Amino acid sequence: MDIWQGTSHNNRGRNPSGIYAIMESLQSSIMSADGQLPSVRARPRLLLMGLRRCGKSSIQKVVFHKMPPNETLFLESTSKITKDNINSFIDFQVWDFPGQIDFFDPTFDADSIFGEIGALIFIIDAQDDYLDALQKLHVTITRALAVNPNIHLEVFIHKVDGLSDDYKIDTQRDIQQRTSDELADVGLDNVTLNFHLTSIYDHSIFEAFSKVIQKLIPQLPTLENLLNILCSNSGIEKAYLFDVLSKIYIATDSSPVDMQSYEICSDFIDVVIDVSTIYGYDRPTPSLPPTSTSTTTPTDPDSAGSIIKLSNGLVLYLREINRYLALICLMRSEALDKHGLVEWNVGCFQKAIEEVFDIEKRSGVPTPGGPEEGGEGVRIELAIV
Amino acid sequence: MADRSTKQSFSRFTSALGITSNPNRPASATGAAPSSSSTASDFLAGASHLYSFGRVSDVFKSHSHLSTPRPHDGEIGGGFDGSATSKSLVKDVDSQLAALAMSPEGDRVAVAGREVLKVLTVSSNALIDTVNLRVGSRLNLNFSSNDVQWGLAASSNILATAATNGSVVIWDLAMRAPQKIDRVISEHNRAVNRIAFNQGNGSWMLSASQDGSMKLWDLRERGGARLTMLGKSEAVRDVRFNHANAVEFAAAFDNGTVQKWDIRQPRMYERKLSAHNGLALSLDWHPNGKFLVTGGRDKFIKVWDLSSDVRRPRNIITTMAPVARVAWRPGGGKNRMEIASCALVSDNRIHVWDLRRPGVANRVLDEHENVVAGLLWRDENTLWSCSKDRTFRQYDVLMAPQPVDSLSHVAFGWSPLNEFGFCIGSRPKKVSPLLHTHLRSEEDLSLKEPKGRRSGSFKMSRAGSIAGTEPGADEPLVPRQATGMMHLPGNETEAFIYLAKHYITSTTTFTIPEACEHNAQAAYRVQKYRTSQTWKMIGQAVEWEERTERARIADEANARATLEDARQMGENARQSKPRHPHLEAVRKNSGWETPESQTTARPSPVLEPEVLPDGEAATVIGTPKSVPEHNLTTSISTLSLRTPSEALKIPRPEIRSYASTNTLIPVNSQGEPQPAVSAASHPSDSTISAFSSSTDKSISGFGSSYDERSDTEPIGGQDIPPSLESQPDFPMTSNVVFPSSYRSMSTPSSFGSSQSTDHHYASSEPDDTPMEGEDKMLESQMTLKGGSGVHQHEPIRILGTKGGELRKPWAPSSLIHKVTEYYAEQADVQMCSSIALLLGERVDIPDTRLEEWQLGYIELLQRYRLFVTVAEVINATKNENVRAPGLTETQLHTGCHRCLKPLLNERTRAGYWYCERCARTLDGCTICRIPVKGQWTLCQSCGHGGHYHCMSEWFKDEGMCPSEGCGHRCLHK
Repeated sequence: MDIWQGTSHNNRGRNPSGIYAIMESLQSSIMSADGQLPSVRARPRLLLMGLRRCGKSSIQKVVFHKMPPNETLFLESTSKITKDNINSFIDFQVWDFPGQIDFFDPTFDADSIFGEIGALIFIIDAQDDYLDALQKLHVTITRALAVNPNIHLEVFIHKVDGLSDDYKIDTQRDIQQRTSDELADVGLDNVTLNFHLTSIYDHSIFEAFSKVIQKLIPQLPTLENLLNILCSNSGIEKAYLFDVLSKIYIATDSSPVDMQSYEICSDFIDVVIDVSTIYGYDRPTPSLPPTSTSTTTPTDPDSAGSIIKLSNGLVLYLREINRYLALICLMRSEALDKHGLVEWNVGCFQKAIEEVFDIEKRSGVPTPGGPEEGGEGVRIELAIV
Repeated sequence: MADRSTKQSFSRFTSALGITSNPNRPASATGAAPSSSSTASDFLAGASHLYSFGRVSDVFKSHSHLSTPRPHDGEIGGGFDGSATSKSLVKDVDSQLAALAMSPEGDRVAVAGREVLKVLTVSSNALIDTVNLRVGSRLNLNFSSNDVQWGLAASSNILATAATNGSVVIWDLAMRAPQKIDRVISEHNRAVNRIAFNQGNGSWMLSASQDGSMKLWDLRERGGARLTMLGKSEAVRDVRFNHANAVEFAAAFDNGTVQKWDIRQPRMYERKLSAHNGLALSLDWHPNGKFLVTGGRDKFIKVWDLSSDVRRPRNIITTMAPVARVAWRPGGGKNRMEIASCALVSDNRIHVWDLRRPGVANRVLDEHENVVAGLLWRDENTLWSCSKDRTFRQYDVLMAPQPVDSLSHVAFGWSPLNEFGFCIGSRPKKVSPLLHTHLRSEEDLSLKEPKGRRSGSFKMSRAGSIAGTEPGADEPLVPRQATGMMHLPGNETEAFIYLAKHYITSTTTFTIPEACEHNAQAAYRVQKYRTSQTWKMIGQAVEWEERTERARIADEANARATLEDARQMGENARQSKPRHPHLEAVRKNSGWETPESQTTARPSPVLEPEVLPDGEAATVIGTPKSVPEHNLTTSISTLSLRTPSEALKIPRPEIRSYASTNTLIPVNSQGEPQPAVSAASHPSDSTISAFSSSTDKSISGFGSSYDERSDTEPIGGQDIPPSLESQPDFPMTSNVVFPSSYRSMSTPSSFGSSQSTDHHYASSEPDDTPMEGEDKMLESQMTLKGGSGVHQHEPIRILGTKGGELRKPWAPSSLIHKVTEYYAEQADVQMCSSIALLLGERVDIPDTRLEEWQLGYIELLQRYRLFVTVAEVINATKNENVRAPGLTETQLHTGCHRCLKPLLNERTRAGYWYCERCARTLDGCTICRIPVKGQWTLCQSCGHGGHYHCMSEWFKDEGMCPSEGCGHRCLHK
């Protein structure tokens, strides 16, 4: 289904008479830090693990299937590994493990499970006695690292909605300390573990997932720099690049994310989608035209967009980037005085994003290459608002 | 009624200022215990003064809002130029600012933003735009600055800016060229968030980037970074060198951790703190090099003591918005524990916090129109800030308003233990003389307490070690306030609790008169004589009404009875009917009563039937047909005399004075020639002795004695008929009866006290009756009664002439109305609601009023934790609004049999039958050890039991208790 059923905002992109100011060539690197490209073009995996009834399936349902959090109460317990393919800007798989999985079971193929690049998300129920969970976490980490030393290890301290602020941070401190002590005991003291306090009843689970997924996106620095440039040139306070389906942000500019702006932007997506299901029309399904040739004008007149003016003088701005992604910005209302320029800049940004992902596509199965592979840059040319 | 509101305001206030008053503090006001009744009124007056003072402080409040902020005494000279005028300066730079940096000399400031990089010179009264580094430079992303820092020592002409595209630009102000760019460093992949120069070696520069790495540069070298340190914790938000130890620095990360590094060990951080939930945005080292303050998105400012191993913060300050920047206030003395902070979003103010009072900001600087982006202290009292509203500002912090000034400094409240606590701002020059004198009487107030004592009431921080901090840093803030507590007389707790437990408020098992009688006794036992008397009056009134009702019915029945009976009755009736028709009815009625009901129904204020033995009553009244006529008149006379005497309200000044002076007369006042005096003095004596034995607290003792006097006084005064002097013979009877009943009541073993009763009789009797024992006394009483009956025509007639109206005064409805009015006036909700509950629909009181009483009573009961009584009240009430909460908000908890605490199990760990205090599940069935849910079957003798089916299995063929070592033979087979 096309998420963007209609356009609520239609702008004839026209070359603005603004000042062409920024000519920037960005080195877009799709390589990982050590210069090695991902070996296989397989879907990255997110492995959800944890003790039984700690909330793995609930998280998966809430984040990726838009299940209302209250209904997760009625989820059956998972009895076997559930693989869920998520088709988005990058395709990835979410594997939901049953809580009582036994690593020493001969049928448990650790190599194939941990072998792929991806993230292991271990979920701990903070409202329960977590000592058993820590034991299990310890075993899981050692197994996973033995197979794949590059795997991202994330720990969600979950169900913190029932805890007080003090207790939250104390719990995290305690868990962190115990884990690092245990890992140091077995000589794994250089492991990077990331801890997140999450709850399905607020946006914290989405933010945590955002951070996890951002680590799986090799283009993140490029995207962030593009957003930074967009922000500085268009009077934007904060910009997010959202995955529309899951409401995860895959990139944002480098200023600190405050929860308020994140929440309002992610709620904005719901509003736009709700409105477009009522007033939208069926567009010919965009067959994702080869980006480099299709658009001559920066803004695609068919792309969805929306602007909401807030009472505090800020403006919420949404623009469809492609089928899966949306740019959502908080900007000062003065910036909209030069609306055309903003549109132009966003159009340029959209083109740049397409190029970024295009490079990835074209690079395909990489030749064991030098850094010149990334020499193909993204050019972005923005007008100063 | 004022108590409740003031109590609330008190608790609100104490919570606002962090003052913890201990409700269990012993009544330390004993030193000021009132010894005369004038002090009691003093107390009340004092309370009202306090109340008015509370309002006066409101005036201060609005005043301090309007007035310009004034610097504190003794702080004026602290400024660097010594002038008290404001040093506030503003400079508009036409572009949003993101950061600022001060030159090492402190005379210039560099401000940076996306489109601006300027150096301003700060003179004493102006800001001059000196250098604009962006003029003529190509508009380039490298110059869109996140942060700016000024070099130190060797690099004091160097400015470094951090750009969002990951480059660091070094500017050399000493350069001749208009383009003062020394070089551009672009080694970071992602945005650089912060730069820091090392104090020890000005050439060392640290850059912290979004890519999670920190790089150390030596500006003297042209090559790449000297060191790259990986925090492995997402983006770095802030980085700072330790002022005291140049090789140490701390970094704040996006995932909320704060790391301490030593540049000699660039591979691994030295220490890691999980500081914040969400992003840690800012940090600053205390000049002493031990404390680190961090601010985060979670709205907390936390202070860490890095010299200790404690993993919890030393102090926590809760703010209203995500914290963007924090900065320690420089300088020593009392400023050393102050922190300036600004918010990331939604708050444009700069707060200066004092760690000694973390609940409320010490100063608030509210000048910017948009979010503050950067702040730093120029010196102890001057703060610089830049903001997204395009301005740079300089503040004189001493001129800034102090929010604590706008808070009320006065509060007070009552504790359930009848203690009065208050808290006043001590402004020596403004304290009203009234309050001052009042306070002086309270010698033990904490006004004069040693300082250490007061520090206990001011909690500085929730956690953290105090050990290892430098001296003086932890000196508690002494608020300019004084707190005090005193015990108030009256409304004794014990009496309230006793009465709450013993009052009968439902008519399920008792009739109303019986319940009244019971309640009267209860009130008597706690020395509430007036209340006791009131209960008796109500009981009698109700009884009288019931009896007249019954008599009317009986009359009608009798009228239809046999003619002879009717005639007989008519004959008897005719003798007294013309004079007092209602009494006639009473007499007639009593004639038909059985002896038992007769005694209880006897309209006598004599409480204990055993004082005047039943036999006597039975012989006097119990045999209707054979009773001699004068006996009948006796009973009538006692009735007619007493009932009006209670309703009688004739103030007699001279008798009143008797009553008050009599408190000083010793018990053996029998030799007193005047019988009236001893009669009046008697109740006072007895109550005094009761008081001295019942309680040893002088304050409550005062309260009770005060109460008692007010109770006994009218009794003593009113019991004596006006005809006392003129008719010595007649009043004898009434005088005799009353005190004796009192006497016997005051000691529960009434027979034991009969001796003193005798004495009393002896004293009150002139000479003619010998006094040798109980029998004699009774005899004398009988003879007195009999004898006096002859003389009683006159008083009876006096009363009898009003006979037509006499129905009214003690008719229950009007009586109860007056009684409740009175007790409502006295704010005795216990009495009011007890009467209302017991009498139910007999009471004609508006529902709203009734509800008020009952809710008030319930609230009091709950404060005393008398939940059983609360349930009784809720069950007995007819009021729906009172009942409703009882039906909906009642919770029933299962208790743990070990610690007897309820099993709350909010955080269920191991099922419901788990006691978190004992950390064990409850003992289950004696046989199978599984917790019993549902029916518990047990042996009533040994108490062992368990599941029904387990027990029935066991006892099929066993008689012994299944519990090990019990050995009880539960069943006899």
